[in-house]
Parts: sequence; structure tokens; C-alpha cells
Amino acid sequence: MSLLEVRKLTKVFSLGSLFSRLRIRAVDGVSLAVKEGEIFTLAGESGCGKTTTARIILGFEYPTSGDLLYRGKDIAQFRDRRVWFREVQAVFQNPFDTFNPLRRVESYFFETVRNFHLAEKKNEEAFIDEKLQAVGLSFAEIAGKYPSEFSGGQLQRASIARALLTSPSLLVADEPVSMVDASLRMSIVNLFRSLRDTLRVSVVYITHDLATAYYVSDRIAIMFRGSIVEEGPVEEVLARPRHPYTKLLLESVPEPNPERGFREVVVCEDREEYLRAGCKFAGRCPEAGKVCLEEVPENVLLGNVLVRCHKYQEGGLMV
Amino acid sequence: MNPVIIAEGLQAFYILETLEGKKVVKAVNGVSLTIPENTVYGLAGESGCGKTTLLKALLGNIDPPLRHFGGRVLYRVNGEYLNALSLPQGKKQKLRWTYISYIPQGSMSVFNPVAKLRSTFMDFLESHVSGKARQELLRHVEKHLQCLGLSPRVLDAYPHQLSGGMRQRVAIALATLLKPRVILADEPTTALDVVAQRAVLQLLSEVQRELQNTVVLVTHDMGVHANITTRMAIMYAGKIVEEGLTRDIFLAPLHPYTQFLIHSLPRIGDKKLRESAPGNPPSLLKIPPGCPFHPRCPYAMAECSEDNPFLIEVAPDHRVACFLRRSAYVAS
Repeated sequence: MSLLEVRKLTKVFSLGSLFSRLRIRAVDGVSLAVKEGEIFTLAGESGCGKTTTARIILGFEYPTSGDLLYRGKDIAQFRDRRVWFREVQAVFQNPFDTFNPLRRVESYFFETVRNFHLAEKKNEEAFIDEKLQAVGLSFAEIAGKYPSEFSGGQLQRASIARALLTSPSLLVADEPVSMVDASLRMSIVNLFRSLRDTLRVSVVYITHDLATAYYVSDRIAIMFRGSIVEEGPVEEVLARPRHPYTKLLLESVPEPNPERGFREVVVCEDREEYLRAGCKFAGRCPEAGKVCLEEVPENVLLGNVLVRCHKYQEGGLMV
Repeated sequence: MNPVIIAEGLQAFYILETLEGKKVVKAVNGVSLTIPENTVYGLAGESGCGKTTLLKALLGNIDPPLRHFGGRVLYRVNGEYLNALSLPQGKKQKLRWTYISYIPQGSMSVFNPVAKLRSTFMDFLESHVSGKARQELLRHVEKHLQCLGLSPRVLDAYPHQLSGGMRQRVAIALATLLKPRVILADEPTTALDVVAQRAVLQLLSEVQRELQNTVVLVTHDMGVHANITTRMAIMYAGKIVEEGLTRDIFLAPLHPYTQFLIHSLPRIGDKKLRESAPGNPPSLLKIPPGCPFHPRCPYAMAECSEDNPFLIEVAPDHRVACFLRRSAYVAS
């Protein structure tokens, strides 16, 4: 059984006034499953709905329609939301925004421990220290300090340790390394790998950086304008991309290789894409045909990769 | 190879008055650089290493609490060298945007949020171009936007109506309007996703090719440097630790810090464990004595904590500040 299953999740945001309302389907029928002890990446450009999906999983936002199942049980049935928060914890993008600059970092740890009755009063410090050790810090290192006294990497570690306090089975990490110093970035990414291997914590890793996604994750889903266009094992999806959008995204990654430059590309940043009738990528797709403008593509299973593109049919390329 | 900007032993520190007394933040601590004409010059380093302050100093924009402590910045304008930090205010204003322009970090806060972009562009032109009619200026702006592949319709938009990538491209349009010889771009793509980033970088390099000028690109993303810069400098704790052709730096990094930066980059198709540099970057308030990298350096020797290595040329057109490479220098 999957740890977390998302079924046909849809979130509609209304923009504009009463008279000229624009309804944007930020998340449009997303289904995915996260297994126990795996790192699952949601990747895509800004506005693809990856953060909204994460916020719904975290319970910060309610879906317009669709279900979330945790170990087969609908999370709407968790009457006490604390039970849910015990299982799912968040790691945010910028650690300096995660913590209030006027509060000592340790106070967040004590607060969580008390809210969830995680340890006896006299054992609190030892309990917190144990969790900090898991991320390579110790209680002595954070005691009495304010966020400004940490480096970005240390503070992000502390933020991960705080998320681990409740011994969650799932971490939702939204761009957790994009604000961390370049020389420390890999140590945070490695931390997710080691948490998966030692504590069997699953991670929903949200990013637009395909290079770290490849490095850290087991499976990946590529999102575009609210829907998943390609999903499968990361080696398979990124080594042999099927969907034209995955190809575009892969080509846009600035590879650390000075011998190879960018190829020119068409860029479009319309809101109209959300409202497009057929395949939402048709306007930018170099291979789009007539059917792409009219009909929404269905999911096609190619081996262990799921693709949503008119180019493919069950078993291979459309003839 | 003609230089456009030369920095010689530049020192610029922030003086902060706090309750505990004066604090000195040594953000630019003895930087010497020669930036040549007609290139994309990269400046890499992590947050808080002084890259933005260095750009401010290169722009001649040293305002308190930032103060100039030594060294100079030279601009090469029409074949003669001008000392940028001691120019009279009027002259400085004249050079700004026509000789040197600046794309600041975070395009959201660049534009006035309550004014349409048209009035931002007009304000800009009216204060820097004299003796032209409003209509004429407006036509010039529209033509310029079209050249950059942007629709003149953006002039009727408010900044918040544009996406981040679009706004950043409009900021580039504004910075290149008067065809400057040098464009300083401070993290122009940091807040953008890879697809929008690519469009912005594409635009910047097109503009550079078109104007045959120099773009100084500051970013911590080594992938971006590899793709569009031809020369680059690596900055650490207020100092330049390595400088050379981008290709040489990526193929054979010489400073241990650069080696960590480059070898820790994940690559698609390779899942081998990658380690980042041990320890944490130093605070500019308390820069370690000697080589600022020595507390994190696996090869540190006794003298690294005592003396600060100079930036010396150890291979043709490749300079590094590290005692490990001294033998190469002595041999040559």
C-alpha cells in the first residue's frame, strides 16, 4: 500500500472581480502515490501547481475536489488535524523565513515537543538533542541562538530537525536547497538521502532543479500547468524523456559544462495556457498537431513511465 | 584585449554602529580585477561573500554605511582612464546608464509598483536624454522592446501583472536602453525557474553580442557560469580566490574552494555521492586570519592560518590565491 495517495486532486483559484472572474485550475486532476521510504520529486516551472499540491498535502489549503489517502485512509477522516500533522511535516524554502528572527530557534523545538506531548519535561532537551544529532547538529549548538546567528545551511538543518520531532513518515520539502549557500547545498540534499535510508522517511521533494532531483529522488513527476505530464522512475524519465515538455525542461538546465551552450527556445508565459482547451503545452510544443489543440491527452503507460501526450499510445509511439 | 573596468586593491567596508560598539564588515577586502571588453564576465560566490558590495563599488555607488577604505576603480571611457570613485557627481550621473548600467537583484522591487511601466521608462529617459520630444522617446522605447522580443504592450502593464521572468526581461530592456558599454547584472535569474532563467540568459547574451559590450554577471549558480560566461572570478569572504577563463576553471579548478564548488554539482545521469565543503562560510564580521578558507580546507598547512596568499598567475591566464599552488609559480 502506498503511504500517501492523491486522487484526482483539483484546486481552482478565482482571480479578478465579481464581474470579470477568471478561474484558474492551478491543480487539475493530479493523481500520484508516494511509497514508504522513497523520495518523490514534483518538478516543473513556476506556476505549474507543484507548490499548491504540496500545500494541499500539508493541509494548508483545501482542495476543490479530489481525495488524499494516507495508508489507505481518507485524511478528511482525521478529525483531529494534529494526528495528520504528526505524520506529515514541512520543510520550507528559505530557512530565514521559516523562523521568526526575534525568537530563539530552540523555542520552536520546545513548542512542538509540548504541543504533541512528545517527551517528559525533564527529558525534553535530550529528546531534542537526539533529533538534532540526526541532522548533524546538537542542542548545545542551537541553545540560546537567534536565526541570524546561523548560516543558511545550519538553519535549514535545524528546520529539518524540527520537522523530525514528531517522527513523521512523510516530509514535504518545497525547494529546500534553493536558498542554501552553494558550498553547503549538497550536504542538505545528502541529508534527505540519509533520512530516507536510516529512518525510512518518505520525502515529497519539490523543485525546478532537475540535476538535484536526479541525484536525490527515486521517482519523479513532471508537472505542467496543473497536470502531471510524465511520471516514473527518475533514471528512466530524465535519461529518456518522452514528453516534449520534459525535453524542454531538461534542455533548460544549465549544465556545468562550458563546452555545451544553450539551444535557442521559444518561451511563453501566458495565463492563457491555463485556459487552453486541448493539451496545455500545445502552444509551445514543437511537435504539436491539430488534435493537441482540441483534445486533452489521456495517460498512456509506457513500461513503467506514465506519459500524457497525444504522440504516444499504449506500447509506444502513435503511428 | 582592452579592459573596460579595472579594480586595484579595492577595499570597501560597512561600518555598523551597534549597542556593543562599532562593527566592521569587510565585504570587499582587497580586490584586484581587470574586466575586458566584449565579454560576459562571471562573478561567483555564495551569499554573504561580498559580491553585491563589489558590484556597488564597481558602479561607484559607495554610500554609508558602506565606506571606501582603499584602492581604486578605473573606467576606460573612449580610451582614457577615469577614476570612478572620485568623479564629480555630475560626471558620474552622465556615465550612469550610458556607460555603465545595473540590473539589480529581485526585479519585483526595481519598478515602482503603483506606476505603469510606461511612466518608469519615461522618467528614466527624461532624466538621462535631453532635447528630444516625448513621442520620439516613446517610439524609441517601443522599438527597443521589440528588438528584445518583448511586446510594447508591456508598457501599459503594472509590474505585478507580469510574471517574474517577464519582469526581469523588462529590467534588462531598461538597463540596455542607452546602449551602455558595461552592464552589471546582480543575480538576474535567482528567483526564476529554469525555463524562465533560460529566456533571461538568452536575452542577456543576445544583447551582449549585439552591443559588443561587457556583461558582469553575478550569480552563485555555477551551471549558469558554465553556459554563458567566458571569464570568471570566484569570490570568498571578500576576496577573489581564483580568476581565469571559465573553461579552464571548470576543467581544472585550482583553489580547493572552487574544487568543492565544481565537484559538488550534481549532474543528470550520475548518482554518485557528492560532498559539499565541510564547515560553514565565515561571517564577514569575523574573517579567519590568514587564508579565509583555511578552517574549511582539507589541505590546510601551518602557514595558511598565518599568511594570506596573494592572487598570482600559476598557469597562462589563470590566477589563484592558494599556497598549494606556489610551487607552480616558483617553477615558472
